[in-house]
Amino acid sequence: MQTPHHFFEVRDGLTLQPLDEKVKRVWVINTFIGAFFSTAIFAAIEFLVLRREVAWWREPALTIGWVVFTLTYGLSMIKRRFKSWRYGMDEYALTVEHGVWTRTRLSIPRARIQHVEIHEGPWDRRFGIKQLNVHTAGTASIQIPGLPPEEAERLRSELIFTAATAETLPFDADASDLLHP
Amino acid sequence: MIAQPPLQKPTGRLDPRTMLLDFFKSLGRFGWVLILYFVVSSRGRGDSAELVLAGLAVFGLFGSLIQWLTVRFGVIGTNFVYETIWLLKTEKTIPIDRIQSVNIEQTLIHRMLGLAKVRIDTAASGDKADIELDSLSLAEAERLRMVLTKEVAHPSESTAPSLPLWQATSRDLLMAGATKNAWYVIIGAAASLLPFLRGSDSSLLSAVRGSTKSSVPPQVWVLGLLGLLLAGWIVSMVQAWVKFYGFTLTHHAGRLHREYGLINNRKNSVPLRRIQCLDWSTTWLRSWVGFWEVKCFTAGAMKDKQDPTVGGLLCPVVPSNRLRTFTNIVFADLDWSGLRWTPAPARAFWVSFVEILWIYGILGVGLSIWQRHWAVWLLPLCVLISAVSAYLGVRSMKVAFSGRFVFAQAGWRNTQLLIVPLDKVQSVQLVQGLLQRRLGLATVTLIVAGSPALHLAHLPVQLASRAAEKAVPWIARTGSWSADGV
Repeated sequence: MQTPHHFFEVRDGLTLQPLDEKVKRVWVINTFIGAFFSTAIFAAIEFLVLRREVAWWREPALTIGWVVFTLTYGLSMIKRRFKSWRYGMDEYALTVEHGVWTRTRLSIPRARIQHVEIHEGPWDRRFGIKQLNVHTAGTASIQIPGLPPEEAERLRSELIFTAATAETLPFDADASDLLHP
Repeated sequence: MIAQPPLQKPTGRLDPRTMLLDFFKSLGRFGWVLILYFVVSSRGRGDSAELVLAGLAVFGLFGSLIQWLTVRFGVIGTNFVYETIWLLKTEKTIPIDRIQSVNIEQTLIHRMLGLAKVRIDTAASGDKADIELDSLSLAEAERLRMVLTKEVAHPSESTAPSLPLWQATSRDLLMAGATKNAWYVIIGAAASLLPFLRGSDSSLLSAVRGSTKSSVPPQVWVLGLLGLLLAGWIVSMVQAWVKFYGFTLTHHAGRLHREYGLINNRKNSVPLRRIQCLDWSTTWLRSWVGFWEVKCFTAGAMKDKQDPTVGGLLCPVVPSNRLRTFTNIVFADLDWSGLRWTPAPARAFWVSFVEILWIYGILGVGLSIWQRHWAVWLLPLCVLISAVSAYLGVRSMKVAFSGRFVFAQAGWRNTQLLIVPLDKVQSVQLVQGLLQRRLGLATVTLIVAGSPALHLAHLPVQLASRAAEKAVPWIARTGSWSADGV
């Protein structure tokens, strides 16, 4: 099943849904904070490298150019980033997909989840959203930003307290047909 | 109301000789202070060596005494408990069935004192062991290892009696070293000495430039380089021989035990069911003489803090014709006859080419800017090298499934084959970069605890997407095969 909103084929029974719209406000604030710090670093490097070697107006002009670039790029990406984010859970796994340039879909089978945490930063609290972090024994973890609080709690409860699929494969199960149907 | 079990405290103690061991260690740690002191005092600024030595001895002994007095450990019920009871109170409780591996190490000082260090790893260990008991008597360390690795056998494990799987002869070890020449280390060391040889004020770069402009005949340069290569070769062989001296791998009751080392002696014990991934790798030189290196990874163990190069190493040299037999010891149910390899499509060349061109391109442009008069011709050469590397690289990429196992092979100069049981996969990632999107390709990455990720790289997007979406329910339905997910 291929829909315009999904990057890749989606398995039967899995529905991917978007984040809460409020997350865009948090991302806007983060873009401004990021622009502020990157501009400070840019200006410091510029001051050290270009000192006394260029006309007086070039340093401020470059700094303003940098600010305009970071803000324009950052803010223009928010809508696309939001559109790219999807998450969903079925009896088998928790799945997220995201990425504007590089598209990624990550699935964590529920039986592999080691622990789940709910995170809430100051801006999340201000706008009434939460972030869900799901960890495995491997290096991959899923972080879903911008969830309504009740949705974050629901996901956490289901992931931790509800048993995953009751089906069990026999130990000699064959996975060969994954590549060759 | 559920009755609370009586509160038990661990009673195990470190060996009293730990104080002596720590003293030697602190001497090593503060050796530079002593050297500095003797250098200064020899110039007539003081003569109280006894005081400095005594100070260091008291400092070292005090720390050792505290460690000996405050560390307690032991097996209580089904858990291993470790606690320190002084300034920083710590209590760690590890369910024994969550222990990934138990390693025994003996450095030269440990061996002199008849002691051993025990490292206990779980899936959460990362680079550092969860618990390190620095000094137990060797007998006590062995006993503890036996207790902690006593587990119920898994359906995949063979219950055959203890089998010596492989004992490395000196010839094997010399071969391992000879095919892993440390010439770059020797050249690096020699290059770092150049500035000193040419006077205190010259930098490395100017020393090299000066050498190239001098009237040293080319034969001397060639002979010098050959000498360095020979020295590197000999060093590699000696290093491998000393490090892996007496390498023995045995299989007993579903566990692999390995022991090796001439100066620092190491012993590992890994339950077979904890092995997440098997890694065969070889360099072009090794494949030419028919040898491979085999590594196995568990979720948090088989790592060596002092020597990261032996992390996960199962066997330093295995002849090509014994690889499959060897692999079947680890994964008994692996059926080689069912393998159907799927190669990467030819259009994956472009993705690989662009990735490699970035590296060679930056190098080529950098050199062209720096040495304009002779390095411009490097640019087309960089493109050519990138194209050849990409072509050979993509041709070597292939993946296969057989039973519950997935295989991925890549690399034409250094070849690597990863074998992962699908039921050990922690998460499945499907990635598509910009160029891959243009070419209709995607990469499936299977992430395994404590191991390198296995990439089914540059598959046609439909195939990759379908494989990933079918793999997830497959993995989920193996949940009950392992109680803790690893």
